[in-house]
Amino acid sequence: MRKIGSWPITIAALFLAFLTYSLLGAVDPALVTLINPFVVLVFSVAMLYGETAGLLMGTAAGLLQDAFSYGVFGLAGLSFIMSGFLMGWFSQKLDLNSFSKRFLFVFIFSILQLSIWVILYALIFKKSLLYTQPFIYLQPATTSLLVSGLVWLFRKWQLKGDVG
Amino acid sequence: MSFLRLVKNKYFLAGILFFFHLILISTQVPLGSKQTLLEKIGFQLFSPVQKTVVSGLNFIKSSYEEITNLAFLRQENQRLKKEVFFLTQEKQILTQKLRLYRAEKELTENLAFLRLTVIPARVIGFDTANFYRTAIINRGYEDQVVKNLPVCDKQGNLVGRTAEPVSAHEAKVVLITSEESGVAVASVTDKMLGILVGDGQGKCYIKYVIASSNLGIQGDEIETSGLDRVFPPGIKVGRIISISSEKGMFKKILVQPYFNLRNLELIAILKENLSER
Repeated sequence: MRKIGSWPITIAALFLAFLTYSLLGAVDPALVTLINPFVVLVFSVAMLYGETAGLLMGTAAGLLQDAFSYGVFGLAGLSFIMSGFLMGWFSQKLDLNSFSKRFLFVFIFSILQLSIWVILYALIFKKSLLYTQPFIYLQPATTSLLVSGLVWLFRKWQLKGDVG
Repeated sequence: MSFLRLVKNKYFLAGILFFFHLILISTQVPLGSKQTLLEKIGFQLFSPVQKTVVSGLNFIKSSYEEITNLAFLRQENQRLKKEVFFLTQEKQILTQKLRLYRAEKELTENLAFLRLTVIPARVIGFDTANFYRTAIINRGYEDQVVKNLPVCDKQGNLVGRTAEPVSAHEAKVVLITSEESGVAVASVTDKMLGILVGDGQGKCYIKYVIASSNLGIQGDEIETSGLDRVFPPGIKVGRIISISSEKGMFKKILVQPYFNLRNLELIAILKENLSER
């Protein structure tokens, strides 16, 4: 397991995700379903630091997201830890050095995360989110784009730091 | 294996967290819309942040709107300034027109007692050598203006008479303040008769009043007597400001004319006078 980094950075990242989430909601509520900053954070952390980091960040981000949604507390967290853990685990096994590979990989896990969430939601509430949130269909694409981009940027920055 | 070592095992940790969430969900479902303590804490901790973000965004939004509004206001201001300029011009023109209309109306009303046809005219110029002598008006023979027609101001005070040359649309007016002017006048109180002549300096004096005569009261009003058959009787001319009989056999009676040369914009030519003669 690679370390996420210091705790303050982790909290800052979580805080940043929450800020983005608040900002998107303030700009347009529909944007919250189009871009989920918590998912982006969990997936990015999972890809960069592995499954345990994805697991822990999934818990924190999921609980935070649930704290601000009118639903069952722990629902998003469950979907996050499952997808975060699996993503972190697989990302260590697979060669994901190109942007397109990363994109496809994240896209699949994003669909997985969304499916878990939607299924759990449907099981608990007996209604589907797929019919009420049209932007939710675009969420896997935006998530994969953002996560791939962030990972690429982080690696580039990390490489520059190593050379320096 | 100690618990800490177990926690460090990623699969064990995943299992714990998975079950933690399941427990969380299973405890939450029976609660319905009620919040758990953890949810409350999360909400309490982060809701001020959300509030701050939304407030910040609203501030940025309103600032941006204000900035864009400022640009719009600048344009609007320019447009309004232009509009104000044109409206001011228009207002001035209309005010001028209204003033002239009112003046014409006033003029006609003031001279109604004379039972004469009034030809309103505007003064378009003065004698360049001495502006107390003559004025140029914008009415000529096309407007049935001929020479020797009495001319009054809009209050009905005598100004002078028309004189040659009279062109199609312009004519000259010899003012009563001119040395060349001569008007048969009479004082209102004691009916002192005389000839009013201009001094060329804005005032007039009455000629041919015998020094030994006790006629003539300072402050008395002077009006036309009609004896010269040019000016109809009863037109107000001015007021006696001084009387002296020190030199010669005639009194020197100085008269301040009522008409004001500087306000002499609109005048009235009394036309019927000609046909009466």
